[in-house]
Amino acid sequence: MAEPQEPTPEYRSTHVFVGVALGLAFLGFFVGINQTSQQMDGLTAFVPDASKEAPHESLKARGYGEILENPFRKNQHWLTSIDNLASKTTPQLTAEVEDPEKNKESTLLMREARRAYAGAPPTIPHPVKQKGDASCVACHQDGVTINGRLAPPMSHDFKSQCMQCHVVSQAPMQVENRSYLLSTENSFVGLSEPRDGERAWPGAPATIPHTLQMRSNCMSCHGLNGRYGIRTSHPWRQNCVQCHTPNAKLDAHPIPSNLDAPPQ
Amino acid sequence: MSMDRREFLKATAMAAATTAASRLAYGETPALDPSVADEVHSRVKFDKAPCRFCGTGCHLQIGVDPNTDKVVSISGDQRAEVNKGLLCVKGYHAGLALYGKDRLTRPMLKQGDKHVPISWDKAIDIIAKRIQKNPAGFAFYGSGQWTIPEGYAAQKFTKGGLGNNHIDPNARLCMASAVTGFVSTYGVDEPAGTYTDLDKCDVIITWGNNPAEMHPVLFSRVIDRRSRGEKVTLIDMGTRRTRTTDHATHYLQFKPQGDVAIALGIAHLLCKKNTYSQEFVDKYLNFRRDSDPLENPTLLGESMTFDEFKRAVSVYTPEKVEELSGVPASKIHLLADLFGNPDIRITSLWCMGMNQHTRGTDINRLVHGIHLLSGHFGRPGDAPTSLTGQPSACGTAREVGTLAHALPGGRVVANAKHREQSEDIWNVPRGRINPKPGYHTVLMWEKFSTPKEEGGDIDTLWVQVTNPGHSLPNTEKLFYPSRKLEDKFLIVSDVYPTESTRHADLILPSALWIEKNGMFGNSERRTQQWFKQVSPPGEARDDCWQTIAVAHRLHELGHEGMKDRDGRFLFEMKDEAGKSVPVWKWTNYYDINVDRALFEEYRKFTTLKHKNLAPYDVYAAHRGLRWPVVQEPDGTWREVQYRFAGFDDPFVEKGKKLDFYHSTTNDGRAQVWFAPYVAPPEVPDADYPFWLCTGRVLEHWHTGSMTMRIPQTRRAMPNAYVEVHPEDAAELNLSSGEVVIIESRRGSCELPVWINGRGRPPRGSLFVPFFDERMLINQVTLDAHCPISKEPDYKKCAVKVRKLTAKGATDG
Repeated sequence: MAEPQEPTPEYRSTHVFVGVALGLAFLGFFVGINQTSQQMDGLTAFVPDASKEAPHESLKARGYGEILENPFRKNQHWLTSIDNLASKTTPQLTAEVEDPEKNKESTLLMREARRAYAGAPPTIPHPVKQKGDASCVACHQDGVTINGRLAPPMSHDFKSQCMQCHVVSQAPMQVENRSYLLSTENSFVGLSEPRDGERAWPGAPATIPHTLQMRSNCMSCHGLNGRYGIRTSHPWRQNCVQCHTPNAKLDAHPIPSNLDAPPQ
Repeated sequence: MSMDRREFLKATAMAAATTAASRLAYGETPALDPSVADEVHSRVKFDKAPCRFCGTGCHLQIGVDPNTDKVVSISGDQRAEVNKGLLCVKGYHAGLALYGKDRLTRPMLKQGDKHVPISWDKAIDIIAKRIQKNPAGFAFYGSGQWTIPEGYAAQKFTKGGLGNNHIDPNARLCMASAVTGFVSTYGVDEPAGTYTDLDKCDVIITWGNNPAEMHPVLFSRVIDRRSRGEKVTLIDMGTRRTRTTDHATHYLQFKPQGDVAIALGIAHLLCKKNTYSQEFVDKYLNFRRDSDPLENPTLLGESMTFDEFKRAVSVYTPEKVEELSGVPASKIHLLADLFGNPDIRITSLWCMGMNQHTRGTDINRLVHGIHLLSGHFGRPGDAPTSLTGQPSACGTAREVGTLAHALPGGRVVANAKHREQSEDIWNVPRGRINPKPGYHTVLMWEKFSTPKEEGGDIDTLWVQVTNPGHSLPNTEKLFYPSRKLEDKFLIVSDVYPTESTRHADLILPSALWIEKNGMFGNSERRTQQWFKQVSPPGEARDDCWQTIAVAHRLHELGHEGMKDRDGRFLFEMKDEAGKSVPVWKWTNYYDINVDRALFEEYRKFTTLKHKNLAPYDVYAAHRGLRWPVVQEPDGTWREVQYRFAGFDDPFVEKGKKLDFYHSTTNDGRAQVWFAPYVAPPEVPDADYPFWLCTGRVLEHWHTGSMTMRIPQTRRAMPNAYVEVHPEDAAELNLSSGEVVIIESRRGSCELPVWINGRGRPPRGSLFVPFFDERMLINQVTLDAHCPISKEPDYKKCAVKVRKLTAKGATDG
């Protein structure tokens, strides 16, 4: 009968290592599932029902404790290839633009759904941090499109406080079973998105049908990351207002009125 | 791929219908029929108006579709100096506040448990007859949201008509300590600096203030300078971390009431390090204290020498301040070194943190004091700047003086000469104005809540443009008791059902904002005007008309006070042809511009305290002007940016750099006050271990009666909550979203917990926003108030947190 083999020192240290690693993992798992909502960020803390996702919105993060019931799975945004992501984010100026008028009406309706009236600051269709730092600019500085999800670049000059004007369209938290005393109906009917700029003759460059106030970056909506229907058919031309003149009524300076200039 | 026209149309229609349906499902705001979009765009008319919400005073351009007589669009007014085209989420959606489905549209009288519609004639008659029966038992509770002409009419009606001084605004709950701070320091109310300081300062200090959420346009104005490459040092001092803290260079967290100690510590170090301004001490300052700050503090106090001042503040060493405030001594040195550096420009900002304070007057005085002592005053960028929470807290409550002790233009009822001047301008008989100040807010509601036989001598109370059932502190004591007393009659004029209208005996539907002409006065002394742009809904009518109509009904009933010296009606108004216009009839109210008539009369009051206002028509042509507005030799009107500063203020004696021409010591000097640190009246103990602070959030304004009806702001912030520190939450086994009971010695309130949410309170501290009418935190707050300003402290009281058990019962 062979002598039971003495474990070599190397073998033993491997054992110890595996043991420790397993132990840590085990510990980590239980610490994880015991994570309480006190440690969670305000962002995710108030999701009464994680399965209730707004259409087209990102998935809510989940705690370790919820993974068993609600495991990670593929979603419609799931992409494995970085190359695939990157190619979508950098449209080529010289790329051919296919049917720029495509889906124009539904695009405009979608824009309207996100704002109280044409020109109102759009609400935010995804969860955000409650803090006041400018983390929004990570995506909204230059804009990015990932698998059809569009984060448009700011249409205006940089401002430090995004959430001064843009608020979430769905609250991070809502107390259930507590109905409002007040009526939540509102009969306001906002100005719709303008449909077409004026053209002097068919084929002439359209005048800009909206004010340029807070919309000085045309490429925010009309660039190659923009939605179909309102994106430019000629992205290689970069000086928009060379041909598309601002709206005389909305952007004439000074605005013709009985009001004087602001005091110096 | 080909698609024929028919298919294409079908597909487009389907897409449109789907989007429209999903929009309805998610409660989005509907837009106009797309087929007429361009046509509507071409007919929209834009006009200016100041924003309806906070005291910043942004100007809006409001787009109205003349065919429907409704607001369809709003943009920031690019030519307004305050906001330069930018707004906040409330401003952009202000137009939606007009169109909540439950607007009040008919006068309603309480019968049994129900409110039943009645006619305006009957409503006006009921009010007039109650007042006629007991004029001395009538009180008017108004607002810093009253337009200037509305407040002026109410003021004239109460003090000049009824000879009764029981008129006070909700501004007592928000601005009173700022007023007493200004008056006791400079001898006259309102800031010397303006928002221009925000463009010029090197250092900005927020004293218990969160402008990133409460005055976002002003905060952007200063913080956006960084993105243009300018250096702005932001020092945020607060009792919890907020969005303002996220932009701060230094965050100094102090214990509640610690702000008083910090200011004293700065004063001490300025003296000790000899870094105070010798020029200011020699030429522009006197020193003052209260002889008995605890038992009998006064507005004017007694004088002290600079040496006595130095000795008094010497107790407040950085180490002592650290002990009192919790702010490290090194940070007190940091602050003192900034103030001690004459080469930089420092602007202090504060709002409710310093005003809603049981030592509110003291802390206001001290912050003015350190600016004056260090010479950080009177240069662009160097200013102690008090912000207001309401659009016309300055313009109406403070300047028109709709306070129990005041008369228009900085006058007071106790001064015989001031009474005579007012009686002359109002053309009422001498002796009409009562020399005894009326009841201030807390006292007024106490008297209304107390049975007559126990001394509660107010029996009819008319509330305009505010919601006391929600916003008064300790409502269990100040609001609800009168509702069980037979002979107490509560009249509420408002635009929506609120906690106040629900308990009112008579509800009057009011016109809102651009549904009427109006004027506001913002935080930087800027008087603003707008014209009526749309019609009010149903039978809703202007608050100013309501006051005049009641006055006229009293006149018909033979009330002598409603007649002037010549026997004419108190509010008689004439058209251009000199013909009397019956403005008390709603059908004739807009035959002339009543605002203009009232304002031109009010303007006569404004020169006494050098708060000169321009004629109405000048304001119509401007985006507001900052008073004093003086006429130049060429006939144009010039506003003043820097009061008391020789380079700008025309009332400063020629050749002087600074001149405090309303000095309480009549020598052109301002008063630097000493005030000792005094502990708060209620501090956490074993039974009630938590501090409670209340306040606002970005999305909602005050009691939310307007912003909770705007879908965008309501969806973003649908309910109130209580912020709890994660470790406190762990100790109490609370998780986010869980509903708990917050309980004080006065009352309780159920709220969901929010951990690591919008704000981050320190351990042992809670924060609750007060906008939600389903979670009335003011049933919990304290009615203890500053002994001088009478402003209650909403920012600190002791509470405990109790868990709700699974059954919904409490487990104490």
